[in-house]
Amino acid sequence: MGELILCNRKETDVPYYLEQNMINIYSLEELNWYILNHTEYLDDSFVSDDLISWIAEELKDLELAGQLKEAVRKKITLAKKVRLLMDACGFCTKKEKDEIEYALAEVENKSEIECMKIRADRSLMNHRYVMAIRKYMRLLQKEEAGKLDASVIGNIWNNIGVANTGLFLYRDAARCFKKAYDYNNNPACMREMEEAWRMVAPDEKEQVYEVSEELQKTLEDIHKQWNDEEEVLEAFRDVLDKKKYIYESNGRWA
Amino acid sequence: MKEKSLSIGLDFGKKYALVSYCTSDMSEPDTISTVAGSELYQIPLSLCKRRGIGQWYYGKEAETVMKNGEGSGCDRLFSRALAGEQVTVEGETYDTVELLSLFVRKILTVPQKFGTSMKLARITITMDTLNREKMELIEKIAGRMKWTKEQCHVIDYAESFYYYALSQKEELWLHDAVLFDYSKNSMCFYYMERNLNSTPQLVHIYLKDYGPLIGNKDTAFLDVVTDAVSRKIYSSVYLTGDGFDGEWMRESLKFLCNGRHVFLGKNLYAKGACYASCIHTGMQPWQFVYIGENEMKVNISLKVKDREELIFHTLVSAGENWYEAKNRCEILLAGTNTVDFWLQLPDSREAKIESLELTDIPKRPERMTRLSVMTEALSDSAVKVTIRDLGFGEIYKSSEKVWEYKMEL
Repeated sequence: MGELILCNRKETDVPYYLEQNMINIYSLEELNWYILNHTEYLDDSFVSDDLISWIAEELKDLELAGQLKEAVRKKITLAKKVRLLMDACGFCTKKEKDEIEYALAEVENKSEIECMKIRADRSLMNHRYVMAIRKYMRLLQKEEAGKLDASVIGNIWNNIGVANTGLFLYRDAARCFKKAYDYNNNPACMREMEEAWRMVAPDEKEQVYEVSEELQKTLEDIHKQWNDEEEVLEAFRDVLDKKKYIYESNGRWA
Repeated sequence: MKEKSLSIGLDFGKKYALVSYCTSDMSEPDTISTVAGSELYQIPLSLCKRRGIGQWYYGKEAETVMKNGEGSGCDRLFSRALAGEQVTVEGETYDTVELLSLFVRKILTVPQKFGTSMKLARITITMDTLNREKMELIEKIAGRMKWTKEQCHVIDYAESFYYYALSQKEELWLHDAVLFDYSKNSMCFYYMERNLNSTPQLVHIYLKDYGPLIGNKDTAFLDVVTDAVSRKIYSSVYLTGDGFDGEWMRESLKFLCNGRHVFLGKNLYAKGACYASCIHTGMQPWQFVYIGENEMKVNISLKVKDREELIFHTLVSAGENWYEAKNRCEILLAGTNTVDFWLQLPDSREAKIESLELTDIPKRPERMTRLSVMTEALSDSAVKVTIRDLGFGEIYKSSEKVWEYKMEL
């Protein structure tokens, strides 16, 4: 059963411009919509003096503007400041508000690299593939990235691969999965790479063959070892199932 | 020094205006008299310009100037403005609405002279009956005076009587009060009924017109009052109108004063309107709701989510003057294409729901359709609802669709 949500303030004549996404915002409800759907873009610069002025002068919500000014003065966390914006309006449900506050709190007290990965992961989760790839690449180009564990770097390359498959760039995706496997030796990445190559144009069979060679060899060895048809099938299943198990337990992205 | 706020009651009669005022430090309203210290409250609705001087005179002074041939102007300003007349003064043509506004501006400077500069909190204008033409005239004057909708209200004489009577001491209205108005060659009898079972108490004022007093006025009036007040106990009786001038009431007055408080005066309506201003600015507490012929009979609300709470957002309030009953709000649709209006009588717990389905509304994600909901009373028992699709900012442009619905209450 639906409901009606009361808008406490009228839409403004002069919008607030969110540069990062090139969006004009005319109401507190639209601002909350932005917070809900673009959480990964929120950082300390979000609750700016410009935003507070717009809330006071255009939205004419002096109480909210005052609360935010005080929050900025007291250097309150981003999560709490955004919560003030969400509580001032009925757009988000309580569950959504709690989740957003938790997500923002998650990046507090984390290193820059960790925050960058969390934001990039969120972009990927929200299917913003181009943004995700940019963020991952920016992360890898950081000096501190060199100090990261190989498995973490591998996971990042895996995720870039996933983003590329979202953009149907299968050749690039395959290369990323290969890189990921080189770093983290995760068979799931290998599997992803094979699948990505299969999606590439059919005249590139040579590549496909090269990639499957390892698997092919394993299966041939099994065949040589076992005479009984049933036992061969059992062993085949065993190999393939194990690979499938690793793929499923690791998920598509790491 | 803290700025005092000023509440005003302005009575527009046919020939006269009366002004009562009350500041935040007064215990009750006072009425402006044309002669200091007297009870000559009636200000003639006249305005004139003295010949050769660019000065305007109003009221008694204007009448004197015109009578002496020292200037030109007009009288009965209110009825002329209502008729949309134009008058020529010193060779120049004036719109009588403009002149009436000037008259109002002049008479309202008087209360200001009694203290330091005061902010007008509220002005309530009263007249015998209301209609669309009179409301539009008052709107024009309010525009010229730069009064906001919150500052200026209009009520009829019955409602003025309601505010006046119930603002007196409790013993004067405990058994209700009645009013005889003999100002239009017709004896009008107003009587009050209160619903003691509702909170706040609902009050109705009924009118009975006894027509002119024929023959011996005292005898004729005695017959009227015997009929009017014998069947019920009333705490007080108010007498107003020029028809009560002179000392012709003997037997009738003797009858009335038996067991009742009786008051005679000409400023009852102006004072009642002033009490209305005081009540609505919060200067005095109030436990009543008036339901008269000009008042909305039912509450209309929307059940909405306000932040995290489910509330009833009122669009139309019972007791609100239907001429002024206009409201607007904006809502978001969340999982529904229907807007439910909840209708409730002020003395009932039950509500009736009128659902308006928004046909052909564009498909958008939840909470991304913003609607403007406007209500406008067409009478005391009919409301026009207009719903407009506003889209969702630049993310979803408005479809410009409008749904209109007439609700009969």
